[in-house]
Amino acid sequence: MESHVIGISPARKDAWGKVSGEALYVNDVKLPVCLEGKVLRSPYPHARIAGIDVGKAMKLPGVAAVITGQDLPAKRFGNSIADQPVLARRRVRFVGERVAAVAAVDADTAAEALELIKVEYEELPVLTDPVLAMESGAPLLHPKFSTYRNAPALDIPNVAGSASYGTGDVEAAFAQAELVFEHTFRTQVVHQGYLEPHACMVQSASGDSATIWSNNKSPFELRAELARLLGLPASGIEVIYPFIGGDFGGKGAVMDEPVCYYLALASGSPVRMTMSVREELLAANPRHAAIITLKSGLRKDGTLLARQARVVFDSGAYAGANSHPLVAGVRRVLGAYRIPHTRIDGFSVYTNSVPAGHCRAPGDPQVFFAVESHTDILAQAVCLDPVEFRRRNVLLEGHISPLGLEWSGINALQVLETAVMNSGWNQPKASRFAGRGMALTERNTGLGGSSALVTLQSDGSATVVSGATDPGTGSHTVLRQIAAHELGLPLEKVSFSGGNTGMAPFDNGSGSSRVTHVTGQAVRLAAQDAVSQGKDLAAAQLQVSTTEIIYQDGIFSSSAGKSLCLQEVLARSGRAGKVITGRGSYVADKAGSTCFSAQIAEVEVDPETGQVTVQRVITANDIGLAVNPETVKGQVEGTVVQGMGFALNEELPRPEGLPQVTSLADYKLATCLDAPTVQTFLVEGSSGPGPYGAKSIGEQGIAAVAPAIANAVYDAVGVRLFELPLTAEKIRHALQQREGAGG
Amino acid sequence: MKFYVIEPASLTEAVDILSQAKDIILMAGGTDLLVKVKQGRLKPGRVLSLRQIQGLERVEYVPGRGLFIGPMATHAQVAAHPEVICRFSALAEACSAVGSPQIRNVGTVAGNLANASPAADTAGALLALEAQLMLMGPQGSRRVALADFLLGPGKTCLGQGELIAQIFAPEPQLSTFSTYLKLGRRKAMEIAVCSVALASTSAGNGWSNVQLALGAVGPTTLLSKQAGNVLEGQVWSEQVSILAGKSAASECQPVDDQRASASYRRAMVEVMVKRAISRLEFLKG
Ligand SMILES: Cc1cc2nc3c(=O)[nH]c(=O)nc-3n(C[C@H](O)[C@H](O)[C@H](O)COP(=O)(O)OP(=O)(O)OC[C@H]3O[C@@H](n4cnc5c(N)ncnc54)[C@H](O)[C@@H]3O)c2cc1C
Repeated sequence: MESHVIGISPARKDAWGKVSGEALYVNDVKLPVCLEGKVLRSPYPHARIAGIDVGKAMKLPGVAAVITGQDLPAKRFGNSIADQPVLARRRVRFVGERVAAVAAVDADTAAEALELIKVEYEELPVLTDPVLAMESGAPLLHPKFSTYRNAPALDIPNVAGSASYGTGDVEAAFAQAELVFEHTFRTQVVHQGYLEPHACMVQSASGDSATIWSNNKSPFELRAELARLLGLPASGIEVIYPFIGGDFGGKGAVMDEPVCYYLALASGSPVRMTMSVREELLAANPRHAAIITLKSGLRKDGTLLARQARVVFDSGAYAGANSHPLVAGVRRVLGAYRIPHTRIDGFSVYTNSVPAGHCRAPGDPQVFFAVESHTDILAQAVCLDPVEFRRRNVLLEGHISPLGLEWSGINALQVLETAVMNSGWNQPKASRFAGRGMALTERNTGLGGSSALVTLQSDGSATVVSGATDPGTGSHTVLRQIAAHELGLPLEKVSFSGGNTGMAPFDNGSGSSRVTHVTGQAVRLAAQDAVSQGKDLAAAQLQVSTTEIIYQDGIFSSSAGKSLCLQEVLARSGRAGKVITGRGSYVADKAGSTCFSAQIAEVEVDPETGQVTVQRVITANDIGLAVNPETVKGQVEGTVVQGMGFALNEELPRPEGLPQVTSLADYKLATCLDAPTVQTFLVEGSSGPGPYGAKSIGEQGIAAVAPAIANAVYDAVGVRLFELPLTAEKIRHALQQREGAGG
Repeated sequence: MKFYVIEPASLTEAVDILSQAKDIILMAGGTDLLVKVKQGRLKPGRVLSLRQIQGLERVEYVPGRGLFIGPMATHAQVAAHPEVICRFSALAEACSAVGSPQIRNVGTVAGNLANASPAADTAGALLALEAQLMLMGPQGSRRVALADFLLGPGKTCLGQGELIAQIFAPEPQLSTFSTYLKLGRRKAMEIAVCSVALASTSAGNGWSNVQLALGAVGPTTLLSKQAGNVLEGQVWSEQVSILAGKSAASECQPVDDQRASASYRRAMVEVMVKRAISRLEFLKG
């Protein structure tokens, strides 16, 4: 499209501040007096709290407040199901659960006070396997589940959410199918891996209002939930959100803000809380572990006929960090394929593990690891090349989506072919133990609502005012680009303002791949409104009717050839007219299209150690239109490295509910030396719902990585693993077993 | 957390201060120490930093005698030293394998040894290079072989008030080659799953003076005597190499932990020993 500012990649305004240290994060904000808050966490995965003695902690000099669950109203919170207590009441359900909290003059004193709190626990049986937890007769982790706000009416033990979908008649289709295969896949808990831990600060002198500094990426949702929980009007809560040091889904839930508020009340002083890395790994809301069983029926020629899927997500002790307890990924078990007969059953189940939450494309990487590994196995079973098998079954324009939606602009095949063409798929491999694998995925552009303002300044510059956070994605730059395009102004003349729920209009939050689409459209409408207000003023000044005014590049002109620039119009408009504030609101609640991604991973497996080196990833992404191509590529590269960590090394195991990995020394995030070469191809042209036809990219690339790598490992050494991560040790073990079996 | 930092002007002064009070902990680069303090595993009243003492970062090669490494020499310095790269390559490789550029810029070799982690990267290399430590303490100075210095996880033979004043690696005989191989789950910021250091002198067709050290597969980094004997005086045929690998694997004492199982570690020792052997053959040319 023709534009001076859309489709280009200007440097981000925030980049310099982030590199130089000028950019302010929550912990850079200092109040003249502020206490440090810390929480005592449960060492048991499941126990009854028989008693808590805070006497000694209270007496420690420097301690201002010590609170336990007994001191707080008996209320629970959650983004959907309100199942989480602020501090545990009578029972703890995972190692890391908050049991008591302290506010003290400094962090050391607070930590010392925690050591002085005596808690008497009586251990209870531990539920770690979500499948066993669902069996009838299993002990209930939440006996009062049905009384929780937003709790669905369900009668399977420990199930927090479930759903079933289906089309046609799977049983009949399986009976007719020439081949039927069933596999079960397992994926692990992983952390989002943001650099900045959760942090907040609460000031509430009177208790009837509160100012909250937080790095939550959905500050309006945070405010709404705190209002419900704390019994305050939303207007009495001001959430101030400076820069956010990464999120990847993990900062959209309520974290320490409520406990921090109660510490502020109890101490009569502002309180700050910052989670340590250990606490992040122990008690933030990581990705759900999942058990996924797929059964497919097909014809010998490779045509898919039927699929049955059962997906069990391990929700951990609470489901409240999720906007849907059953994360959306369950809907992706059919992949990007045409399958006439389907049946999907999904469950999210309570266990005594860490409460799982949103992590970049919730549910998708788990489900697609299963789907795309399964797809390769099916291809092999019918002796088809993985690409050819996908070609035969992929959704084409006009097909109904796997769940019966009518999607426009299906370009899955084009995306697939783009990746294949750029990868040398059929060429000889680099070495004996090199392998290539592919995966094809789908995820829709995010939905939601947002309002924005675009204010024109008297000097001819403009400001976008929006409640959208920028957790490092570059969204503020993209929103400025959209406004600059509509206003015909150079990007440098358009600034962004936000940072405070009291002053910025509502936004759903930077999640779910929605900002460019939803907030972008709100900004676009606001800018258009500003232009039309300007036209009204210009028309009056030029004494013509508004319809005669044409606006271009900051200049209003009439058909008679007279013109005024923006500054002139504003200068001539008298006091009240000197401000133009355009308003835009936008809501999207139905996905009319989706975004496809195809990836090809090239790996090298060391057959003696089992180590996998990912050498190159070729990725093709259906983007509609890239408002800012470099930012899009940045997202893609990030998803590849994050997806690789999920595929190969990251895990937070809790055998018997006891966490094994509590430091970044053992949590194996990929380093820059581990990162592969990433070649990104943006497939534009299939129009999406965002401004100028943009689709989304924040989460779209991540799900293909693990299956592409798993398929490449199979291609390299013939080992198929059904359980992530594909650690060197597991691969070597599988290689040895095969040798032992004489294969 | 708060603690007092003492910065003496000489090593003698440092020893004096250290031997007088028990609550003073010595700090070099602080990359092990400060992590422990922040995690609350160590609560020092005072920390004695060697930072202000002149000349402790020296890395010096004296032809005919060997390599002298001061207690404040960092991994980055040692790894970049041309004589270390060419004559003590196992050490240069080990120092380059530590952590990340930031850690290598402040972490010291002396601190790495004194911290006595079984996975310490430089310990294996220095064992294979037959390093000795000059210790300074209230009773004066003494020289100990690195092999006698390392006693267990976090345990050394350092007495109260004693510190490492210098690390010494003797001049290798002509045609000596050495290498350090580290196996981890990622390419940086990694605690070894297992590591192997091998040094040996090429003599005629065979190899002599074999020193083979194994890391992260026992309570300390250890010298594998048995496997060394398998290799000593031999032409390193494929058969010998396999035998040496198996011998090292049976000699090591790995444990299960969240990083790897004992059996995987043992198997990897076998693999890494074979690779170290071929690397030396390759270096010999
Ligand atoms: C992120 C990170 C990554 C790391 N990666 C690695 C790695 O890959 N490989 C590896 O081996 N290590 C690694 N380490 C550990 C650490 O960096 C090294 O062990 C380093 O060499 C320690 O040196 P230092 O100077 O920082 O020691 P310090 O922390 O200052 O001291 C460590 C210990 O040695 C004692 N000490 C120091 N100097 C002397 C002396 N002269 N005499 C007697 N005692 C002394 C101290 O009292 C203390 O007990 C890593 C650490 C971190 C934080």
